[in-house]
Amino acid sequence: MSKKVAVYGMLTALAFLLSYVETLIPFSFAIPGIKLGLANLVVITALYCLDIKSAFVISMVRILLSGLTFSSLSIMLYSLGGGILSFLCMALAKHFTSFGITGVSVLGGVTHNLGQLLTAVLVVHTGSLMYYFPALLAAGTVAGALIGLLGGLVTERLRPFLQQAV
Amino acid sequence: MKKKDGILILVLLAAAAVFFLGYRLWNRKTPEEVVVYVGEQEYARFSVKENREFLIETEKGSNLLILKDGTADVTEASCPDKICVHQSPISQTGETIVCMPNRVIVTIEQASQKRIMNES
Repeated sequence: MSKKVAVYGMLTALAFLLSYVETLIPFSFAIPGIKLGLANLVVITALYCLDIKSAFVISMVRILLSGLTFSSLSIMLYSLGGGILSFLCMALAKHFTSFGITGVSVLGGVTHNLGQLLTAVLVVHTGSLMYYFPALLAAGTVAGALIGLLGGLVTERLRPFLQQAV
Repeated sequence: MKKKDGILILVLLAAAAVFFLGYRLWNRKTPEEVVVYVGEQEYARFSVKENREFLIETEKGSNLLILKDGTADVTEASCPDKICVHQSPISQTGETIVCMPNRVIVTIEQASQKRIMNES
């Protein structure tokens, strides 16, 4: 049990740290909401090495922590919208489709952006935001693919240790 | 990476390209007016030909809108995230700059029907 707590704590801290690293990258694209999603590397690693429940908890705690620390409440709301939708889709894709970790991560990236966009549409009550959709779709695909490839490498190496620890 | 993953990536990128082109074709009207909405309410409306600064003030905060040479850009905002400030200037019909915390939307439209009728 204590080992489990230690592993979850460590992974959450790692995800939190990667959120911070992400804020250091001076990404300012023409379209808001485009980012690499480094923290998702930890979430997807947890999804593949541990189980759905722990990956979900790590993802939510990470969003809460980084939202309160690095951004505003309104941004946290969008992160939550994106984070929950993306997690659901990744978990479903992993269990019910034959996509590999890269494919699952790509779906996660795309649905994360979609979730954020839909949250924004609900908040400002305007469909004109869908103008961002094509760019966010492409960006989510590319970022998801990069994180997925990286996640494949990390998972391969960490799985024995993580599964032994839990 | 599985072959299936690669196909998924290509399909999604192709879909993005199709949506992008579709949106551009759909909105191929001449840009005529810069419209500012706060929430669902229209707040201000300018011709794209105007060159001016305009301060958008809402209950939640303010944004500075700059109209210059047919483009619209938000250069200052009271909110902490500054997403609207970082966004590039817009000039095409259908393009939009949004400030979420202040619920401000700046978009470029074709002149509204009402205005066209008033002028004729």
